[in-house]
Amino acid sequence: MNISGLSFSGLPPIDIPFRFFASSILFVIGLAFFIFFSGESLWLSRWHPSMLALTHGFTLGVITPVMMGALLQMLPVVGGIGVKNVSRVGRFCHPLHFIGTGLLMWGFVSTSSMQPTIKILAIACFSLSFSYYIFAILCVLWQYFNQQLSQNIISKNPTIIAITYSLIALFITFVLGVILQSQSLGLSILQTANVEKFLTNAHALWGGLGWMALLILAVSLQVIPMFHVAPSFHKFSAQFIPVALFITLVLMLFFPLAFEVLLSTLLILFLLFNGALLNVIWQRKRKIPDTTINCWRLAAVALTSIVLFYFSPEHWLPTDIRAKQSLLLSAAFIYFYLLSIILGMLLKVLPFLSYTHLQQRCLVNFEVMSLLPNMHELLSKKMANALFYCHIFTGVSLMFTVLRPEFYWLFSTLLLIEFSLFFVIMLRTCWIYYRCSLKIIELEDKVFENN
Amino acid sequence: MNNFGPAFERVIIDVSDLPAPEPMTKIIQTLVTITTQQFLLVHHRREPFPLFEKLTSAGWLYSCQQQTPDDYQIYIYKTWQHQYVTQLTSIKADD
Repeated sequence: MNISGLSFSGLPPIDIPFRFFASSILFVIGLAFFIFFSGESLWLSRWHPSMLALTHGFTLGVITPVMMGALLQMLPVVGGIGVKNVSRVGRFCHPLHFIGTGLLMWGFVSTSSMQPTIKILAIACFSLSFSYYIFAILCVLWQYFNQQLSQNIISKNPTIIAITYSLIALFITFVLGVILQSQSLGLSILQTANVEKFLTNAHALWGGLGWMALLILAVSLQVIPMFHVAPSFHKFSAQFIPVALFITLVLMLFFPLAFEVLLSTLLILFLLFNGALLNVIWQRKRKIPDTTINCWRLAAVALTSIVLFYFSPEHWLPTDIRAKQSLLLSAAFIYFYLLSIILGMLLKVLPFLSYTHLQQRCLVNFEVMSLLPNMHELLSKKMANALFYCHIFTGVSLMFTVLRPEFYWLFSTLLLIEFSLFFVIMLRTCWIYYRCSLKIIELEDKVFENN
Repeated sequence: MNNFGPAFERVIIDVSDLPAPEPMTKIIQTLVTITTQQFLLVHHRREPFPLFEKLTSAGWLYSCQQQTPDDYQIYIYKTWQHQYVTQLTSIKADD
């Protein structure tokens, strides 16, 4: 039993998660120009410097900051404890993270004598940003587990446990990234090229499957039942799969020779979770058309296709596709799996956060309730639908560009259109929020004057 | 009167089948209508932590009990109803 009096650190001010979300959308618009001006050569290999810059642009400049902002907002909702000094954490990490990402991308493509300095500056920015962020979140998790233990409860909250794993994965990804960057600066920490290749793969997998996909898994355990009135995930999916994923990733670090087997295990585990996710979505009580649900479904179909594509025998595939298999897999994973979920999540979270922040004022002044917009007014369904179809076309054009690099202009143009539309959707939500906020302030002033 | 002070009327709402953020809306709308002689019992499918924080800052007290993994009973009441609700919930917990 929880009795009133437990101490909660508050929800973060709305501008904290929103600054991460808005900057990520603007960053994609920047990436569209980067793709346009990089030309065909970018698509020649996954090791091309511009391709490395682009991959890090998407993972660090888009997906990671959205997850960082969402986590700051989500912890008080899931665990009842917010990040201490959350505004300070947000305002400190946000600029450093984006400056670091920009510098890292520049470091990859630069051929000037400045390159080592740029890379060192990027490492410095990420070191400051990630260490402060990870430390702040770990403090919350520590406080949460301590609070549970003080009530003689061993926490089995699957979301919190999966968040803990994904945060450890972020730290390991970051350390591996620093080692690889140091190697490229000529520090020669790694003795052989084989070790470097292994660590590069480990860095990509800990980042993609550990930090991002595991965090998405953690978030889905909470948001799908909450937003779509679906049943909770079965224990096997909610508790066993995250632990198994994490252990497999750890084994990957210590048994490089078993890399292929462990990667197959990871993919099968994600496929199992995918099945559970589709099942939960299928069982939701309100089966109304919803763009977010379409995004989850698209991501689930994409992941299934990725796994089937990975396991398909080489001789089944045409030569063109076989030659670009790893690039196609990475592109599909980032665009059709990770970004589809990010898109769906933001389409739900933007109006929800705006609405709840306005709604919270009602507990102090109930008259405010009449001024609140309907939650559906905060996000146009038509625009959200248009964005979803834009996302599919852009993703298809990406796959096409990987195979036929001369169509890079098509992908960059569609990417620009998709995320410009997304930015307009976000601005519209912010505008409605702002207008309603002004009305509430006016009403509060009137009440204050009358008293 | 009974053995734990004056009796208060219990208003019950079930928000477990509502998607976020409708549960909070319904709870707030109900809190507007209840009288000083009433308190609120909410059936929810999860612990609404953000609501707890706001209730406390608005001068309400609450008590949350988990019945099953997907069923939480939340009592929302005023200071003068504390003794009554505490005894009521402790009796239910013993049951």
